[in-house]
Amino acid sequence: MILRLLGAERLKMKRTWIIALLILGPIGIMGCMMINFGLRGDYFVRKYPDDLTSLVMESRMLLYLAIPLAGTLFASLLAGMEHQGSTWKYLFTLPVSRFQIYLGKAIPLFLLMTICAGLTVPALGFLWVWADLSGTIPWEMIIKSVLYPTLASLPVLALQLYFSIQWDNQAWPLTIGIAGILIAGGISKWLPWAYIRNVMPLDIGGDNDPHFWLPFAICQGVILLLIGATIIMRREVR
Amino acid sequence: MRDFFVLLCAEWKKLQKGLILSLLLIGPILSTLVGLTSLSMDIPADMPKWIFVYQMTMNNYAWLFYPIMTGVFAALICRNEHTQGAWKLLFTWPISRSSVWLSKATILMILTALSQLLFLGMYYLLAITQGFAENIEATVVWRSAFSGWIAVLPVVALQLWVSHLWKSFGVPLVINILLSIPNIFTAQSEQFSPWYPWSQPYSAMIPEPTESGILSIEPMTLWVVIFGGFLLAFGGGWLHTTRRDWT
Repeated sequence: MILRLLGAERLKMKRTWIIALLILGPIGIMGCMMINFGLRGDYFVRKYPDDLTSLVMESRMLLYLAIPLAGTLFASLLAGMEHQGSTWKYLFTLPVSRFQIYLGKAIPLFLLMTICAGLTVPALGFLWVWADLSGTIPWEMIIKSVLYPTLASLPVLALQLYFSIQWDNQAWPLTIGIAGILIAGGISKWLPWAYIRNVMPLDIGGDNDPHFWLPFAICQGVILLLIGATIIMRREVR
Repeated sequence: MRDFFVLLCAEWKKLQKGLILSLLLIGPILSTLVGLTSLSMDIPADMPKWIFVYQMTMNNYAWLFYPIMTGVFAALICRNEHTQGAWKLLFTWPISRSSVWLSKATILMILTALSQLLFLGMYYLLAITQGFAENIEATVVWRSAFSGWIAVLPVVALQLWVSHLWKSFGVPLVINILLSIPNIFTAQSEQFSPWYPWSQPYSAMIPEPTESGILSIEPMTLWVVIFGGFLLAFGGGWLHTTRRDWT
């Protein structure tokens, strides 16, 4: 059943901005990093001990904003599709449990984020060659430095999915998401938006500790997803 | 001209005031909280306290939040028309399409200006509660806020255009965020920051304790990037709105 729901979601996504964002996101990240390395490459050689550190540290700046922003937009676009056509009612009259319908939005959201991360990895690999950094491409490190923040964004994804489904006016979920990512992440390390900043696979000091924050974020993500699903299951549908 | 004022009143009535006000307040409140936490940091000896706190508050607000929120408000003021198919209704009235476009643009400019005012208000509130309000040089912070508002106008025009184009709330935001993200790097780079329209609000709002002028923007950037960009996006959106077929 859930597979058929996913098939339906895939059909709905065809030729929408979701697909455009999926491709433009990683390209944008690569473009930004190319400009960054092109302009300040000489400075990085002096600033960081080795090329690997400079790649991870510089992409970190971008990833910890780009990943949750992409998640916020995906969640809003996925839910907005149904709000715009007022199709939640129709969806909920299908002989599928509401929980499965909620999962039918949550799984595509997670898959989209994974695909985005999957595309960012070769993009950063290409950057390594383009910027003429020394040594072979450190695939393991690149995969970790993209995958860890993606997994650490699970609580944000769960929150945003719930907000986007709860409110039909997408101004709310988007504003909360944007404010959370851009500002609240810097206020306290315990807010869901802040975990992404502390899971770098390098020893950079501060609160950075993937061994603690990664499992913590994943657990919290699953719990928030279940809470969100429960609230939506009990909600009256307009 | 009369059309325009009538429509402006109508637009004002259509705004959901509570919603708008709470959306406007989120950013300034959160950035002021960041400013509050910055009080416990080591303040550089050559920098007055009020300017350091202003800088920290402004950093978080103007860097990405302000240009991105401009996109949210643009989408929000076009949302009513999109969800209820009211564009056609609006255009069957004996009013020109230009005045519809102009009234929407004016409302959006008012909202972005309000955002700046609330930001300043929250900063002053912080200053009063923390007891450094009397040190603030009003001209510096007001000029910074005003320059930021001028600098965001090209984004206002472009976002209004794309919000007219797409029914979906998210699509204009996707465009806006994709274009704002390069700010992370361009805002710090001397080669790029004068030329990239999305990093202008940040560059303009950096407080400069000089006496000259009412704007803290380089003339070249002001006229070419901000004024030129605004004319391009505003004119393009205007022509497009008045000529396209509405579905």
